[in-house]
Amino acid sequence: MATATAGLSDLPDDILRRILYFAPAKEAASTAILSRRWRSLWRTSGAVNLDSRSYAHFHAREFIKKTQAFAGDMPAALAAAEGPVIRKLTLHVEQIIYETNLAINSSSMLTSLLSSPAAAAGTEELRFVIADDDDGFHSRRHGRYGNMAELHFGDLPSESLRVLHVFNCSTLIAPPSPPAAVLFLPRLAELRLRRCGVRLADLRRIVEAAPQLATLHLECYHYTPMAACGIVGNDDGSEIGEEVVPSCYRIQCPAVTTLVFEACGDWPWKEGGLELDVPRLQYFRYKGLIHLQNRLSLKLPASSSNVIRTDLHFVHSDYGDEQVQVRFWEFIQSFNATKVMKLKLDMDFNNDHVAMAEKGELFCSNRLFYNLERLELEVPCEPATACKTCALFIANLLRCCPVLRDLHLKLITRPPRTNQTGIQARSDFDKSIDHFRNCRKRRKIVLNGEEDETYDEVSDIPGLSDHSFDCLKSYLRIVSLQFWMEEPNCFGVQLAKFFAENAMVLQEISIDDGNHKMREHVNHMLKRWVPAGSSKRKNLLTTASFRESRPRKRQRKD
Amino acid sequence: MASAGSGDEKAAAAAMITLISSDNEKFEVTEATATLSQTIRHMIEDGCTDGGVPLPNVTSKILARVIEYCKKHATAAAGEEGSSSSFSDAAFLEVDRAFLEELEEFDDAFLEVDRATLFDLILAANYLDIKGLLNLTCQKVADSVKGKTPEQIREMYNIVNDLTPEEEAEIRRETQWAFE
Repeated sequence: MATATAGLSDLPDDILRRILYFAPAKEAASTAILSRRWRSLWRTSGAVNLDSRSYAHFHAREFIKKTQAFAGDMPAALAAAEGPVIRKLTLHVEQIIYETNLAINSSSMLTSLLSSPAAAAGTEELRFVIADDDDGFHSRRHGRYGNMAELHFGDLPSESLRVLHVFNCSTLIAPPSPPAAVLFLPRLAELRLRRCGVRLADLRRIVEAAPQLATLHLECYHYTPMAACGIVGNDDGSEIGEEVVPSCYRIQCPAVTTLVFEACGDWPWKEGGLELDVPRLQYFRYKGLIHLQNRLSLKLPASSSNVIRTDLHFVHSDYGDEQVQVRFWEFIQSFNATKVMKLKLDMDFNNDHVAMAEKGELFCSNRLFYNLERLELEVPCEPATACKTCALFIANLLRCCPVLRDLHLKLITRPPRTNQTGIQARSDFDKSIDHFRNCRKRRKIVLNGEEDETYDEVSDIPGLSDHSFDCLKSYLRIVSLQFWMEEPNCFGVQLAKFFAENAMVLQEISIDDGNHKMREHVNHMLKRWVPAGSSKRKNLLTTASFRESRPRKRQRKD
Repeated sequence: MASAGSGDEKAAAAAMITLISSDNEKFEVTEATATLSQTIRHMIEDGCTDGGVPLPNVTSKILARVIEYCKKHATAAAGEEGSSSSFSDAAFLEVDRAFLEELEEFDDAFLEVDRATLFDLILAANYLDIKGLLNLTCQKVADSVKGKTPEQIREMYNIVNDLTPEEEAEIRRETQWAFE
């Protein structure tokens, strides 16, 4: 029996509450007058999501006024509800650059919201977001980072809080000093600070007051609150600037399993290093300048680590002295128990990087990634000279991954700059068509003649082809290569050849060359590269798969 | 040449579940896909899935969409391409960004349906107890009221106002900030 199509009114109350749980407070509260049924739904939805965008047609100050009115009304508005009233509290303020008071007002607003009985009773999730443009461009352009918002941990519903997200709050003030702080945030499991300022001493107090903390995100983090930089005065923190900061802070994170650390280049210019003791770490993501990674160190148990996945994303840096090069490898090596590693080098290779790649040889030979089963590597491969460095990196990493099963290589190439020569560069599409045509021409010859004579010879890779690797002998089964194919003898194709020839138990090799027509061409060549008589030959050819290149990412709608 | 898919079927035959929609259409899905639904997970645990799982509250049109969602998200739960079972740990999935982005794109596209279908999806997600899908679809409805006045919401969703003017005035007074 086909049911009649449902309308909103056909949904049960629980679902309507669930919908209101996600809706912004102004609209959600106004649904009380939709009909008799709706009258009490929002009050019992468990969430208050105050959002300045609901007042977009007013001036931003209006939002502050309304929200303050709400904070005053809240106890009455929610009085009729039973049980813990607000489980989720969100305060989202669209930052307006010249409106410096807005941030200050929004933090005092948060304080008054939190002081109301309805919130204090048992808020589990709190999100305090001062929205900014994504990379903080405006604030940097105005010569400062962050705003003047403050959040006092002492104001939080600390007993019940499980999830806390704070975005763009320039000053976080830690909970009252220990020992009272030890059980200050007993249930906090997830803490996400994005573009927040907090002194390392305060960060330590916060983290150490939360024994259940499992997920810790520190993104675009700056450690020195603005008050401490002497940029603004601070009512209660006039002495902050004077305090002498130790050069390295060590923070115990006994329950943390997920750690995300994105320094985004704004590592503290005043404070020193940070050492995190993370015995239960399972997932780690790092993003930052290559020469700053040595300010962060993670302490992991020497043996039997739980680390499952490590994502390291190093971005461009001009610094390249020897110490940095050594620290780079040491840092990578500290995750030698990980099962999966993703390593992205987001920079143009230069001579310093050659030196760095060479350093790897030294380190990798004496400390192996003995658990590493999957390696995802994104490395620059342009200009052509970078391929040598790239090969060196790959070789050094392969050598220290004895049980690698799954290798994903992405060679990053950048489209030519259009404004350099004054000549408009051809679009990628035209290029790919050309490649395809060239490729077709070659194939035609192939079909008519003997394969061996007519195929372009694909050369070996110095540094890679002349070495032997343990993982290639009995472990490596899956290889995926992603590159932009410039020519049939480009580095990517050379790599494909190398793995087809040398990986003895290879089962699957997939190539995404940004132009899927080319795969037929490569497929043909692959058949030749697999050593004749090898047992894998038959196996590989039947399972060889070529994944279509992923469709370009759709532009996000908003 | 073997016909496409026969190999896959054989390999996964052990873990296939048949779901039967209200209009009697049968859907074969893997256990990993099906168990995104807590309701079905419990049925499997109780061993009452032989001969198929009848879902009298879900039409084939909606069930097909729900399965599409579950397949995508089950892949996510099993690690990309499920190449190794040891990677199914939650930590592994938690933040594979590219994949999460892809998933987000999928979700966006998935939600591009008419209102009636959206409500049917909500009901199905609720009945099948698929938390991710329920939150996703409820969020979509919540987004639709952003910036709307109560009058607009009433009109949009055919809600009949049965409050007396006095009652309405009282509510407006109670939560004045919401009506300005």
